[in-house]
Amino acid sequence: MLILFFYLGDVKYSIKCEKVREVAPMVTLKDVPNTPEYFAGLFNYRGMIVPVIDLCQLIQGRPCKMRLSTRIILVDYKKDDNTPYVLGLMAERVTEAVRRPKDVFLSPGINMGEAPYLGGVVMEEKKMIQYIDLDLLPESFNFLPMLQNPSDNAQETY
Amino acid sequence: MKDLVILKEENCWKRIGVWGRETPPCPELDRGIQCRNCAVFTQAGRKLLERDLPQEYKDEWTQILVEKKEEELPGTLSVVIFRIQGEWLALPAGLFAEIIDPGLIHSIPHRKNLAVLGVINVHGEIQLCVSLQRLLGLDTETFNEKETQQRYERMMVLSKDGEKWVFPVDEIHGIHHLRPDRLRNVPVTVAKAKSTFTKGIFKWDEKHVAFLDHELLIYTLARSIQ
Repeated sequence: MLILFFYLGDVKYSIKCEKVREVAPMVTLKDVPNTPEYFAGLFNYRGMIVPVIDLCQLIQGRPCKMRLSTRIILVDYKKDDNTPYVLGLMAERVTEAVRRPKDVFLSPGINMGEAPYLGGVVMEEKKMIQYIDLDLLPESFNFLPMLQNPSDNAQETY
Repeated sequence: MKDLVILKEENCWKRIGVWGRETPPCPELDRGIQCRNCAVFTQAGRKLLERDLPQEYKDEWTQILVEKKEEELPGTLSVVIFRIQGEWLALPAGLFAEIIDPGLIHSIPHRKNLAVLGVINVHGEIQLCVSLQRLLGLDTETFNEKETQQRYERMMVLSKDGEKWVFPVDEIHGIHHLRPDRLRNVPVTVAKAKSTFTKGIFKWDEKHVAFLDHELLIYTLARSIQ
């Protein structure tokens, strides 16, 4: 299984590559006012409007440094009604992808509460590297109507 | 490996290198054989990416990512586009052994086939040199040399079933990915001899390019020289 490593500050994190569509270099983002700090902006990705989340801001509360190695990880998602959409995740030092067996993913068995997506760890050279669960990640963003449950929207119209 | 302390200006691959004779030798060399397998070297490479992001780089990629990726349709052909006088022609890229600079053609006496120009030395091997222009019957008179300011003469070395053929051409454009739906049939009214060798026509850069039937071409050639 392919794992993508990246850093947020000095801390190394990982994600599974299964859903990663592309790792793109940093681009100019369109700012959207009145959104949470971790929402970096929108950009035109091959004709699609893709929202970009600043993982540094989300997890560590400070924006990503603008370096050449700061990249946008584009992840494929599906809404509940099966319409696909793409989400961009901005992180620092996205320079390494490695192949590892499935059993390196371990769950410490604790409930992360505020950040359910930060549950598991990857064992790499006997060190623990937290991994970000891409499935649980979008649940934390409630500011994007397109990511919300369609049933929520339906209730509003009633 | 992780215990290696990387100094700020570490450049041991330049100071010690693989051929370093100092004692004791770099312990990492035993493990990795070459400096480029060493973590110090990798880390130094990664550091190059830790530079500030230039605005131009950002702008450039913003533009690139706006463009839709052109998906390659199944059946997309790689063709080499070349020019003989005023005609742009194409042949499948897989057929090409190499492109060489024009060499000296040694003519063969008593040749019956006018298309055969002679033999040429390609890397020490003697190959037949054939004029596509004569083979296809391209009109030499209607072409005005002034239309193209420069000549970029090359020779194409084609390889088919172990046999090599050399064709002098006036210009090579390069490889072009030809989508199958771009290939048009040759108009039936075209009465030129070359149309029999033309599989189809496609538009490239406001020019019409004839895609040649290489099977027929090589077959005819092989027959004619026997």
